[in-house]
Amino acid sequence: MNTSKTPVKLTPLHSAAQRLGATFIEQRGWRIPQVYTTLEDEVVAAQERLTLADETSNGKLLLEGDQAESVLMDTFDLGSLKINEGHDGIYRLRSDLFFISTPPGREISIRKKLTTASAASEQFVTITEVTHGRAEIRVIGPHSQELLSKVCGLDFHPSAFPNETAKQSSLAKTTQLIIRCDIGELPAFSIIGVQSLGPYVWDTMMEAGTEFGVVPIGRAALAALGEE
Amino acid sequence: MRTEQDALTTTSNRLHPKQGEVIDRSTTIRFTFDGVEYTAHPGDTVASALTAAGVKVLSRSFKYHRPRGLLCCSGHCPNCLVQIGDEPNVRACTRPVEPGMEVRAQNVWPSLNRDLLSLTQLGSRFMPVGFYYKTFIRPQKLWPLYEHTLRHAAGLGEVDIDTPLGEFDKQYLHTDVVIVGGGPAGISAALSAAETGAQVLLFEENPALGGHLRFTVPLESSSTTKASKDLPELLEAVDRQPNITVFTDTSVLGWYQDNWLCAVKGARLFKIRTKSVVVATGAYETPLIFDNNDLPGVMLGSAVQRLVHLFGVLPGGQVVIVTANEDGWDVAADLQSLGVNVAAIVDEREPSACASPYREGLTNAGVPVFYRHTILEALGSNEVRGAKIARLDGQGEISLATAQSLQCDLIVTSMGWTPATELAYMAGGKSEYHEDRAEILPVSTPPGIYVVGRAAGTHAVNSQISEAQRAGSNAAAFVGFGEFDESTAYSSGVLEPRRTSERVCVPGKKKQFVCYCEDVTDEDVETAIAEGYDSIELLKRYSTISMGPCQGAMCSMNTIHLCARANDWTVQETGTTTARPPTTPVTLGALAGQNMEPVQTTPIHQWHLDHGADMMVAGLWLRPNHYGDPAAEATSVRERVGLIDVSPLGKLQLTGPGVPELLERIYTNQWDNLRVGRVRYGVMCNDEGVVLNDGVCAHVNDETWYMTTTSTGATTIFEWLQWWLQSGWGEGIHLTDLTDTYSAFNLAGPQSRTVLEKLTERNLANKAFPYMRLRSAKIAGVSCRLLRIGFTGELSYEVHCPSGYALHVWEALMDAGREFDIAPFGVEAQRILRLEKAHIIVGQDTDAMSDPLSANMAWAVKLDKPDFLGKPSLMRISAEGPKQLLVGFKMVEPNVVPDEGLQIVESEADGQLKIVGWITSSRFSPTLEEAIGLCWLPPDIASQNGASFTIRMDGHLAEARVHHGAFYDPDGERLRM
Ligand code: FES
Ligand code: FES
Repeated sequence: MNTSKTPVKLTPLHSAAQRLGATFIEQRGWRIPQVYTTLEDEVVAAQERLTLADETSNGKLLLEGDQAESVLMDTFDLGSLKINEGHDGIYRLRSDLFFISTPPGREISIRKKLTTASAASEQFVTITEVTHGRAEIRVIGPHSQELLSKVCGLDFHPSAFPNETAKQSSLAKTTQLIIRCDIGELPAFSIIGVQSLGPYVWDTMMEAGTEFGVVPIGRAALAALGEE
Repeated sequence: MRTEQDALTTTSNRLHPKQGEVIDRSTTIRFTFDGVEYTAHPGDTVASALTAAGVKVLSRSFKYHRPRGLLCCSGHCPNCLVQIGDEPNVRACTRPVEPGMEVRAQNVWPSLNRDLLSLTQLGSRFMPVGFYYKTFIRPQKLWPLYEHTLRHAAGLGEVDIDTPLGEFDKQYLHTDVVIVGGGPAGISAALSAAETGAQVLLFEENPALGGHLRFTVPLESSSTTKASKDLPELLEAVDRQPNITVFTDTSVLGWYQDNWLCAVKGARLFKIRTKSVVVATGAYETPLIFDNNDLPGVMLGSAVQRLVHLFGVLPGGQVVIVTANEDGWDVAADLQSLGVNVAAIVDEREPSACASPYREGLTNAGVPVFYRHTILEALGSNEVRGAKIARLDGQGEISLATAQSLQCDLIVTSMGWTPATELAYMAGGKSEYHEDRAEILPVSTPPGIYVVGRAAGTHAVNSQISEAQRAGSNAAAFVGFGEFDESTAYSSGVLEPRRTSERVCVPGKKKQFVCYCEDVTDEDVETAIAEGYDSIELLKRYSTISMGPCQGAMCSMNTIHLCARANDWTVQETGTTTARPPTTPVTLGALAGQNMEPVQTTPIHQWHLDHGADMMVAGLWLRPNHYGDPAAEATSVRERVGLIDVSPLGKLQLTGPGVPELLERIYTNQWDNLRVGRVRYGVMCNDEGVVLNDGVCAHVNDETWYMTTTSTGATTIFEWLQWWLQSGWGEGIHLTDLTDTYSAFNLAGPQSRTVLEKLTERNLANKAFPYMRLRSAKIAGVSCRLLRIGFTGELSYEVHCPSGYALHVWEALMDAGREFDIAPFGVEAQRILRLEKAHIIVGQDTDAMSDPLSANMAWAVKLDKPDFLGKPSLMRISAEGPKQLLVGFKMVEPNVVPDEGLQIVESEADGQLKIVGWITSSRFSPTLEEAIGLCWLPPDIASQNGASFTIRMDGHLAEARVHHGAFYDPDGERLRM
């Protein structure tokens, strides 16, 4: 058997990042953009203008079932969530469907925990990992709302779309899950959709963001901004 | 007061600098109009710069090619439409000049000033209203000639089809209150709404807020005095108010249900969701209909004021003002103060009715005033040289005996206003004709819609402001901010003195234009009504009045009056036409927005490109069609090994105890006996028994099934299953779309097992892993699902791996296959291979009528199952027998490949050819070295192996023979190796 190369996971935006001149690091088995230009420039762009980051490596789980909420409550210290509401990376999309976003790699342990809890509860609950199936693009910066208002019909004003809210909507004519996840005071949204459309959504947002001076940022800038 | 000397520069119609003007005189820019170079200042519009240079004729009319000049100067008429570069129908009076701009007159031949097409006027009796229904229709054979000539003469502007795509886009906006119109009323409404805490969007179609206060003069005692002085204050307050967002140069095009508004600013379209709307859109000044009323040099009063105050340009030096209200006197005083020779004021009213504060001053200054007079005709051929006026008798009739001519180069009409209330009516507002005001005014609007200012008939600025403040707070209160102010919304205007004359038309003998856009005269209106098109809606459709670029802004009110008069109805009885979006013309580019065409790519996309793939579009997917030589790719699969990226296949996960029952219901064959680790092929039908999709489904473990669908049908089938799950079949079932979670590759060919064995420890021997089985295995270190299935007809493994590892696994397979000369293969090779096996492709070999019994898939239909989707229809088809059958064929001439879609024909007794079938798939088989295919045929032919039939080729007939079973390896031995 020949397995000479160590398997490495690539995000659907890998080619786009290469074209944009990214340097890469490997983290939890994923090859992800570390920096595109300079750390300083990318941080300033995020703080003052508009940036896009590839966060596909974040873990993503779907939990489905009429009893999904009670399984979640048994597993985590979690109160009841309304539809579209989220807490600590857990978002309720329907009465019987939850989306769980985790830092890269942590989806494995969370999935195990949930599997154990659901087995113990003897409830019919399905836990599916979709990390590989969904591209995740983070839009960060003061112009985030304006950019999204060019590609999506939702109201992104904080009064209508508060932090830790998740909504499914059409974005640039594709179906996406949009989660508001500000970084401190800095408006930020995660755009999560099927990976095969990831490059298209990325390119469309880069084009729509030109007027706001959009640039891509890497892992280093995200870390500097205070993201794990 | 300035002297004439002070006011006019000597070299052009440009006035000396004055406060409020929007041009930057420190810079001069150049542009051309019809090849002649002109100068302008930044801030100038094309029209203001041309007027400053003395140009009066800007365009030719639509039908008669009459010369036309500035009329409204506000973007609300057709008279200044020009071509700028490759952009047709630009309004010269609103488009700012840019350095080097190339402006051309449109719709003229050979030139603007000598447009020979104006000779059409001589034949105007052949072109009455609705002429296209009446004349030029006989003799029929001459129609192509008529059409060519008419098309050449009509139309506006030229579209250059080579123009590159523009940078259009759109934006969604959400707010509490939208204010449409940024005049004093709009600003005041915005401020009071915003003060309550409501979020306000304020839209203004002009480049700056201020409305008419930007170009009306704050002379003492004028009704505008106080407010004009307050304008800077109002603007500052808007600047300071964080809850107001201002959009200038933005036209609101329409109101749609639930306060969904559409607006456009240049190349950007806004879609706005608001909770309440204040319509403060002002009013259009209404033109007067008289002989030659379209002659360049006949202008509306507000147009002249715009030119003078915003651009410092005088459109004439000797002016006759025709009026019926105080606004005309305002214009006269304004012009006179600038040193213009006001040759006469012609006021149709009695002297006692005139309450203008300027009356005394103008009279004392020696301006001739003709009370109880009106204008009969604009004199001149290409531009105004004079005005013929006459006295009105006691009944208001013209006394022709009193007619006299006055010399002038500018005729200004100020006869009244048409409230711009289209948006309020689109929103369901109701209107009424106020006889005493001679205006149609809104009387009610739906909750949350408010109309203020001139749009509500309120002309006095202070009344506009107070009324708008009230409406602004009510609009905010409607949304939940602050309290309602209960006083009535539309009271102010109706208490004011009349500003609008009922006299819309002065009868005459020459051409008098009602609708400038469509070149419709008063005579045309009379003719149309006499022909029976008497209702206002019919009249509009027949005459095309109000259907031109201005959308009725200049003509709708006058038409209603003329229609009422001709029918002897009241204006109220006559009614109005229905208001519809867009209120102003909009480019198709702006409506289309940013070019967003979703494209799906697989994780191997870049690899395909790097290896010379010729990509094709399949649904939204981009897939390699081939890598240079599809026949060689097919041969490599047959003889060695090939690898195809089938990631777009739909992949659905079904979990739960209810799944077997669901599968029984949605597939036509049997499923409840499928054991874990096994894979089965299935066909899905709709209620009518029509084939919807096909694919395999694997039983993964006790509670999990893994279903694949066709690539282009993945989303449809997912949604379709969801629909059934939500319609009562969902008990104990969860459905998840894993199409993107897993990427899939088909490793096919006699060497595929050997290649795969190099990458896994899993026993792949035929016994351990037979045909139509599922196994999980680590391939090149990655946990994958392997399905042993064979669309290509060879030993093959479908490798499903998590998409993040796709490139790693693909490259490992290619590396492992190198020693066997592995080749990637594309969709085209796959199509050849499957055709050699006579496997159908749903959607290509089947259509919206095809059932599986007829489509050679009867083996996959179990009519003795209790129930499944499509069963009743299939039972009927089975009992009656299929009308057509899908069957394989070979060509008698092995090198002739008939195109897909060609007809299969049969000779009838009379020698005519009857269509009896058609080709759905055809290829030259590199394995068999002959042309093969699939086709639909009547059962009597299809059921005989070897039966011959005829294909209608391009210009000749070709013979083919029915072929039963697969063309290649009919017993499927190679699949089971
Ligand atoms: S003069 Fe330009 S639109 Fe009327
Ligand atoms: S004048 Fe424009 S549509 Fe009639």
